[in-house]
Amino acid sequence: EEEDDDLLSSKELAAHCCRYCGISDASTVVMCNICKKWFCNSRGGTSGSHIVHHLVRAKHREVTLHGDGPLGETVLECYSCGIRNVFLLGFIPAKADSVVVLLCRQPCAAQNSLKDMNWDQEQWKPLISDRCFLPWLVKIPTEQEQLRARQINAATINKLEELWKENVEASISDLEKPGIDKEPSQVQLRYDDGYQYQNIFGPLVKLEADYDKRLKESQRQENIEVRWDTGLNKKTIAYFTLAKIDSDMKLMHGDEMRLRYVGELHEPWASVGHVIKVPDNFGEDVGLELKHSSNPPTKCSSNFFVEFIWKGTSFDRMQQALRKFAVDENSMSNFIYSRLLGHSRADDVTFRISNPPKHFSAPNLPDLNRSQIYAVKHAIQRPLSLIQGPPGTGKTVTSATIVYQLVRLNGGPVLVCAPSNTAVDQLTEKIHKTNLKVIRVCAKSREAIDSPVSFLALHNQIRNMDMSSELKKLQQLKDETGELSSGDEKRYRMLKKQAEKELLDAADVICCTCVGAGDLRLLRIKFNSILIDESMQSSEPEAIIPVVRGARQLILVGDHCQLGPVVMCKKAAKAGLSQSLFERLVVLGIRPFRLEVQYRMHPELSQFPSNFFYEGSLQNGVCAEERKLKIDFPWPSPECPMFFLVTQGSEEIAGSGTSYLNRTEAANVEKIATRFLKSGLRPEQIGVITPYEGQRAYLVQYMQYQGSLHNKLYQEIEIASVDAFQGREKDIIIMSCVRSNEHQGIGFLNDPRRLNVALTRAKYGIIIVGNPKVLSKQQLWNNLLNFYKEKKVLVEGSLNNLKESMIQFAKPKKIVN
Amino acid sequence: KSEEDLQFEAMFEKMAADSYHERIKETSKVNTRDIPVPMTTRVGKKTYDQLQDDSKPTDAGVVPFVLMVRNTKSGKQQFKNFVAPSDSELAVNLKMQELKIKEE
Ligand SMILES: [Zn+2]
Ligand SMILES: [Zn+2]
Ligand SMILES: [Zn+2]
Repeated sequence: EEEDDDLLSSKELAAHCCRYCGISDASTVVMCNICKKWFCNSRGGTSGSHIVHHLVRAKHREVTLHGDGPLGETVLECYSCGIRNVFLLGFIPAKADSVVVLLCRQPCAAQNSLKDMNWDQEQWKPLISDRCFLPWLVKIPTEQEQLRARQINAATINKLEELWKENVEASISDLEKPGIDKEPSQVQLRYDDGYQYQNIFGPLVKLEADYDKRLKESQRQENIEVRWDTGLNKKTIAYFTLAKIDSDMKLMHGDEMRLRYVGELHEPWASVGHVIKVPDNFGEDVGLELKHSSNPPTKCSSNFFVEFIWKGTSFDRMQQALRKFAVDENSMSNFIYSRLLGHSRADDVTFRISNPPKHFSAPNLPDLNRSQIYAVKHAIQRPLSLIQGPPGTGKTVTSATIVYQLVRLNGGPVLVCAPSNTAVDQLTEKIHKTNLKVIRVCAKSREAIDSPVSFLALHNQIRNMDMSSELKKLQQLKDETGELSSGDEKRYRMLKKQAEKELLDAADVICCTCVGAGDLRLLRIKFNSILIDESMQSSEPEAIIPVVRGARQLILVGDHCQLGPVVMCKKAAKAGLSQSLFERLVVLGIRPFRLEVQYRMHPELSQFPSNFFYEGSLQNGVCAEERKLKIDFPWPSPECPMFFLVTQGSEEIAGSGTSYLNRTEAANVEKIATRFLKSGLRPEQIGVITPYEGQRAYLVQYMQYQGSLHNKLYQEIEIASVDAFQGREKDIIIMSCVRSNEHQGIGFLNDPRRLNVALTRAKYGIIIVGNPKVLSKQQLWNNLLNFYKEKKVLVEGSLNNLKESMIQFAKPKKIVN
Repeated sequence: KSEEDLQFEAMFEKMAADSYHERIKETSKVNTRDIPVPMTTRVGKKTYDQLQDDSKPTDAGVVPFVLMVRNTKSGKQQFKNFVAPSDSELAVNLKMQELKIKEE
């Protein structure tokens, strides 16, 4: 009995002690509202208190004070608006009175109405000062207490936080267990066989999947307000705004979420839906199309709860493909198998083609230039080829022509893939022009999303085909009522499957994403010829999904000098998952066939990228005259439509943690954009590139509220990250660099490929806004800045009076790219 | 400072900056309420000087304050007493304000 009591009290004792150092004095600890763990307010050898460390590392932002603390149990929130983000909270005292109130920095503490009252608005101070909570909120443990506590440094804290992402109950002692720090095996250049390949990539895919799952599932939010609507397809749509928790997480069309009503005005209700609208320039709300219209509480607008539903489909398909690669010798030809493993085969194998085409072009597509013709010839004659398409070199037309020629020579079906839906759609459109029978296969969750090639989608072609009258009837019934009886549903599915098979069997070309190539509806079909576009953007396991569908002839189109695949899990990325198959094959010595004539950029704009990224090999298929905007704009050098606007602003980050530096750049971007609009450019001709989400959101807001023209105009200007612009072009690009210091890990400055993509989006002109002092420390940027300087387009001052900047920085060192 | 410390500091700055920028973005949708200074609590409360003169056994070197909060469940006002060190900004500021009023 006694022992039990002891256990209980030690448990109780443990409940609120600091999870880092073990300090248990209730007046010194705070609870994180999100994970319900307690942390103390001492620094203990680090540069911030333990609770602040936790909030920052875990990206949590809300806390509750302990009942035995100076203020008793208190949830910290803004008195006026109720927001609980402690990074925004501060306090103001009443004028000449000892009353204090907690207020958020924006908007409550900044409100003008406060001025009339008895609050001393000027005295607003943040609750976190010097990275500790103010001592009158939470006491700081005494020195003795700190000495007695477990000593922990920032590195250990970091490890522990990482561990909590996998196991919420982990403790410091778990850090010492073997295997915790074990790094996964690195990817290799060559592999013994498919088993070894699977053994290395399988765990990396698992790491990434686990990371993705944790990230998605942690994004649950309460107190959601919902606005209801009905879509054209009569399905219910819920619109709501999500508070941002983690900027790593990107919401995508087709993602699944569950919406739940937790209030008291309606019986408990929940429904799953697909995201059909994501936050953009036109609004921050999310649109969720509900799957089943099971009587949603449309009368209620508040008290909803939303959570993400993680789907492992893409990871499952990668694992399946890896397995198939290892065990199924029919998954691809021996030649491709051994080439992918990196086994040397010096001989350049070519197919003998009995009836070579006389013209290497395709109906209704533009005539090809010389390097494009060679690329087509090269690709159709080889079992494995890499086509490198630098920006603007007509990669899509070349790919479409290759596909056309392959069908003409060998018949169908040819499998055409790309990692992203946008890239697949673009290619589908081009191939369709050649009069081949093309089918676009979309994931079921994306069927509702409109695209320029919707009419080619399998699910839409079925509706338009001469289908059995029974299927037609059932479809009609389903469209009208939303649901079928179980018997009818069975029959409907059977008939639909038949129709799908009929369509797919007759197709010349089937287009889908790489992940889509693992779709059940395609499993029956064997593809001899496979083309993967934008293949540098897919990870190896992703690219393998289409390859194991029977490849005897594989064409990878891409550009290893542009952005690679996005891998979220640092461990997996470090182990090499972020390297594409295209890149590895290049390293293995397979020479990519390069398209050499670019048709996008003004010759002046292509010069730096050509020299720096493509050994000067890019030729210009357009002349300066064709890329001259007939507008009045103060280019510092009229023949050279580019400049770097030196924007220094206040470089230091303010003590409270709010940097105003971004504002200066934003103001300059707005002025430039406004000037273009006034001179007659349409907003959709302009693109603004900025490296990270904070600045994007700020720019969107700033332009709409501060811009001197109608805010609708600014809404139509696309403002996005470099990654979002890959594969696309704009007439004018304005780039806001945002000061990036080495610790923020933006990766914008360090990655030559990202810079290459950023510099090659513009057709007519590019303007970079940034701080050369900071940027020039990077060798890559140093080269670019010197290039601008030599061209006399490194300028400062106002748009009406641009002057060459005399700013000095070190001469560039030669970089080997 | 270790690399992790520097990284933590940078992440802290970013979190504060991001919070603020997001807030600016969404500010138009925020519902705010008026905050009258509670007159009732003023009765019986002492000025800074009175407090110093007080022979009450309060800790030396601290100044009592009241934090006004809204009860999360009921939404009602609540007052929580706390003390701030007399050399804290909060206390110094109060003293200055009172001096100013006296001079007027
Ligand atoms: Zn602690
Ligand atoms: Zn937490
Ligand atoms: Zn507020």
